[in-house]
Amino acid sequence: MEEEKKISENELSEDVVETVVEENPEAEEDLHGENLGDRVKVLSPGRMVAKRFFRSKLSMVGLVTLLFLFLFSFIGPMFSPWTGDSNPKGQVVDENTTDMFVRVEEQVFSFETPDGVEVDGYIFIVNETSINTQADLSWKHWLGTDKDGYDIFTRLMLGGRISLTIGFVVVILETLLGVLLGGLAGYFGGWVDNLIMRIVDILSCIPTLPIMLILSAVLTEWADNGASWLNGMSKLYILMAILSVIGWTGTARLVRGQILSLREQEFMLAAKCSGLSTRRKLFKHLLPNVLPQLIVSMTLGLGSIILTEASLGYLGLGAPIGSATWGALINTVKLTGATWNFWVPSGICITLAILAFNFVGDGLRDAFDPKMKR
Amino acid sequence: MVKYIIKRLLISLLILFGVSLILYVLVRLMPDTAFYEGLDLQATNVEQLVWQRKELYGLNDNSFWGIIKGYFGWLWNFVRGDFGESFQGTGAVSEMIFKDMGVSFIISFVSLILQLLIAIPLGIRCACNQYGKLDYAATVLTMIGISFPSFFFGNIMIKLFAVELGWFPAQGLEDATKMLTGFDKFLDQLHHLVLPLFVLVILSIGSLMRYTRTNTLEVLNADYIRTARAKGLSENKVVYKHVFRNTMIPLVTTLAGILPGLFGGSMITEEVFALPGIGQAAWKAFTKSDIPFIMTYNMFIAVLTVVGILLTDLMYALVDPRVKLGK
Amino acid sequence: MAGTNKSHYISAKESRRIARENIKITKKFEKNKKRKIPESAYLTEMKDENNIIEFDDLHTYFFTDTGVVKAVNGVTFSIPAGSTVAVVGESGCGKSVTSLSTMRLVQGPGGQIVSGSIRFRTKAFRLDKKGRKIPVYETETVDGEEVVVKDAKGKPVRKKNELGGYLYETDEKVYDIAKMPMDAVRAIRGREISMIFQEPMTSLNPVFTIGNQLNEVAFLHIKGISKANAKKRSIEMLNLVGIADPEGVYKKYPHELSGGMRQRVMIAMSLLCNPRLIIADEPTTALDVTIQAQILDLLREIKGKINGSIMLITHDLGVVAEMADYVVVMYAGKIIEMGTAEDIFDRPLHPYTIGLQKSKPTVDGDVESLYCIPGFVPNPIDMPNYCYFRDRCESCKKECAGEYPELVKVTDTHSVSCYLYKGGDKK
Repeated sequence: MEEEKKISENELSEDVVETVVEENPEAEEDLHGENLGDRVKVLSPGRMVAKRFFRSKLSMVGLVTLLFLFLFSFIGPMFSPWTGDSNPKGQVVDENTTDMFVRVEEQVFSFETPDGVEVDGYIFIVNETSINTQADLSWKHWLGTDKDGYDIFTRLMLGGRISLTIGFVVVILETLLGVLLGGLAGYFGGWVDNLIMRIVDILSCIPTLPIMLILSAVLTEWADNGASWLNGMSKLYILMAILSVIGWTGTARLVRGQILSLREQEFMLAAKCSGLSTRRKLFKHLLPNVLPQLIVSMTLGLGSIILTEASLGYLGLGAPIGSATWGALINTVKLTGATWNFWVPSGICITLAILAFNFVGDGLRDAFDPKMKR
Repeated sequence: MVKYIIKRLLISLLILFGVSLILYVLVRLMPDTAFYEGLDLQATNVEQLVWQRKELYGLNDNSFWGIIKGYFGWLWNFVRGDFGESFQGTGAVSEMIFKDMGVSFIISFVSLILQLLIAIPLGIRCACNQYGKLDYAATVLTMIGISFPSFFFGNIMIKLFAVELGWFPAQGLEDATKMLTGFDKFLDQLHHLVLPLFVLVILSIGSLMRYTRTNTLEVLNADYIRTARAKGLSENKVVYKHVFRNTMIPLVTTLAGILPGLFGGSMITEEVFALPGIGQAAWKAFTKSDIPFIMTYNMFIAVLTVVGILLTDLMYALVDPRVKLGK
Repeated sequence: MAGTNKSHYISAKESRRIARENIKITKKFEKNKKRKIPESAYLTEMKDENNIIEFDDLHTYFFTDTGVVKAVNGVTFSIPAGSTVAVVGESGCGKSVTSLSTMRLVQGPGGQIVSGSIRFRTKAFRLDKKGRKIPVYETETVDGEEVVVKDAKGKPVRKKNELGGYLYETDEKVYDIAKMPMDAVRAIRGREISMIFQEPMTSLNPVFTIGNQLNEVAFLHIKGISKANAKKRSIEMLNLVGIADPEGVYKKYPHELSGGMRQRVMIAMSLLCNPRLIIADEPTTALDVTIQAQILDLLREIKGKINGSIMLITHDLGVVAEMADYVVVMYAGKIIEMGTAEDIFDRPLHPYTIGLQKSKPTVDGDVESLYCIPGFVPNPIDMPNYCYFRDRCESCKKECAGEYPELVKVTDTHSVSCYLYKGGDKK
């Protein structure tokens, strides 16, 4: 695949090769053994798709970028001497700062709230001056450190973990919900269809960002009022779960539309005539036909979910303040005295991730349906 | 036709009803503290004020019928146009929304016009010269538009052109240090709007252009375009008469998405550039738990979305003679 | 991408190299299309004055990323004035590309006319020194002398035809369509040569009314025609093609008409400017059998009325028998046999033509099953230099291993390209 990476001037003009020809020109000279019909090889649809996908350079660029981002986020932190976790227990301090002595004291105590709930609390007494805050780029801190002395590079990697995980989890949830409900609506029609589609209409009329803001406010209030299960990252995960509850409508529409059009086609009639069970018809004959578009919409959806998460983070919602997600990292641009190394790297990561998902999604779409080039 | 529209309107009402129900549930979920927002906690009449605020949503009665009554009471108020007083103490919500909508509308409208003027001709040109130099340049632009988060791109622009180069003001709509009037004021505002508009346009032409391009490519391969060429029509006439009309048909579907943004503002861009539009007002309301404003804003967006969808259907019938409303 | 039997396929690298070369080649051709060249560059002479159009060694290639597809590979035939010539062959043999080449409608930049010429006798506008068309003025005879009529302002009155369109001075000229720039070709398209396409369902623009699309041709090619006259002409044409309610159809959109009606509209459109040559590219393939017969009748009837020629592209031998004066049989981009309709139907020579005849269902024959030519049309890329039909041929001989057989004349009208008939007589 080496040559795939190089971008040449005609990268996009490259057409998908479908009829494939024997490469060896000498073979043509051999007259009486060869048949003209033998010159065309037939590929299975799956291999054809794979071939088309891997031939497109943009999708390869996307795939390589994604691979890099995954390694960066999931393997990278293991090699980092720093921790960038927001978990107070892992408070990050640069203990090796040359002439500064860092002392972290931890006190655990418990107290009772007026409602009678017992709460554990920690107090950290950190010698402020001793933390290596806002350090410049150096070999020790590749991207410097932030206001609290966290190593930005490490936090970038850890942020990727959360952002990418959230992306995948939400997309999978969305797709499951969407396929299930869209499939039901499309296959059974009638009042089931009507009901589900009205729900879809309602959900798609609710503005996503404002609703997420309200919910975030609600959750924050609850957490402040002592709902301990909302502490830390769990709030972000709950928000993301809600995001997928709102976000399945697109998938449902897609699946329903596809099934409606497929249902009218002759092969479904044939399936009916052969007396197949509903389940078999659905899963063996309908779903595989929807799958290509589903995969494409999932890939493209990943990008948009990462964007939504980042937007929430930028607005200071979602992930708790000080935690490491790409969105929360870019939020640091609002801090006074923020230097470019605070926020630009995470911005680049977000952009790269979205770009890569877009490239791969586009590549998949073209590979599945060569008519829809680009 | 009329019957179809009436049917669609009824469905739209149903949708709005559903949206309002969900929003009401959210208010119900709000913790008590939200209702203390913006009040002087030391004042003696705090409890009474909070009670009044809750009464707007019928939150004081937690029995089943109380909840139902509360919901319909709120809905009735909403339908009558009584959206309540803002918790931020800045007057009636309806006035606030109308006050802030202007700025958002002007920004969105100008950027929309610029988008359409740039993206559609560019998309068609790209399709006509597929794989040409312009096409590649446009593809890069498209990818930037699709992939750059607006807050990231906006901040880069601010840091580059406002902080480093100082060509444009970084934030706000007017220079508070100068007292400008008349035409000077207008120029100053224009100066402030250059960066936000640039960001909005650059980020949104991408997808529109790509959409136009794909559609045009599809139309260009249609048999009737070959017929048009076979008639002896010039390439320009083929493209701008026969191709253009057919390209417009799918583009109309994007109309539905435009309407809410046009009047509802863009929360993130307004936040990045500190523009005093409705998006930022909403953002402020969220941070301040200004429940009446939030509810009204969300309902407002929902209404716009529903209207947008309805308009799209009507436009479809207008642009494509094959589409008959009501079947 | 597991490369177990990769050797069978063109590698990505190879494909990219081909694509790069193709871009270079096609760019040159595309440039030529746009270039302004003097008329003399494409002015030629007819070989036979009776012909309306002559194809001479025409090569139309498609430059794809897998290689060059020689869709039309050296085609030579001619259409005599007032006759119907059928081009027959199975799908992918290059017959449609031949017709598209005539109109210069081959989809660029991939498809290009590489060499050869298409000589067409046209009524070309006479141009003045500035390249403008010279109008014809109204004249009257005063004192035995022809004088240009002037209007009240002293300006000469321009002569109009019966439709109110301005007349221009014209010359009979022979142009080589293959070498013309696109600007010049446009003056011929729709006016001198018109085309009826295979798919009536998709050949009309869905967003414009029939009237709008018909008038467009009139406005384009009859300068100065009034709206009312254009409408009159359109309705007249709709009438001519046997549409019962021309006024109603005029106002309708294509989707409101049936396939047969749409094809009639297409024919009306092609007749609007009294063209000399009508190219009908499988005009009946997409239609019901009963409608097919009607459309064919219509075409035949119209040919008599407009005194033009028809080039009929088809794979349906029944249609050929009904319509054609001459038949050209194509296979894999080359002509393998041509002659008069009698020649081809009564005395077919080439094994392929014989096979085609045998595969036609007949009513009286008591054949058990229809004959089927074995095998498939070969992959068009990198064709070897031997008879393309060799692998499917039942009468394959030793000579067939040699290079591609020449087209030889068997009789004055009948030619065939096969080793069986080398030397002009049947062995």
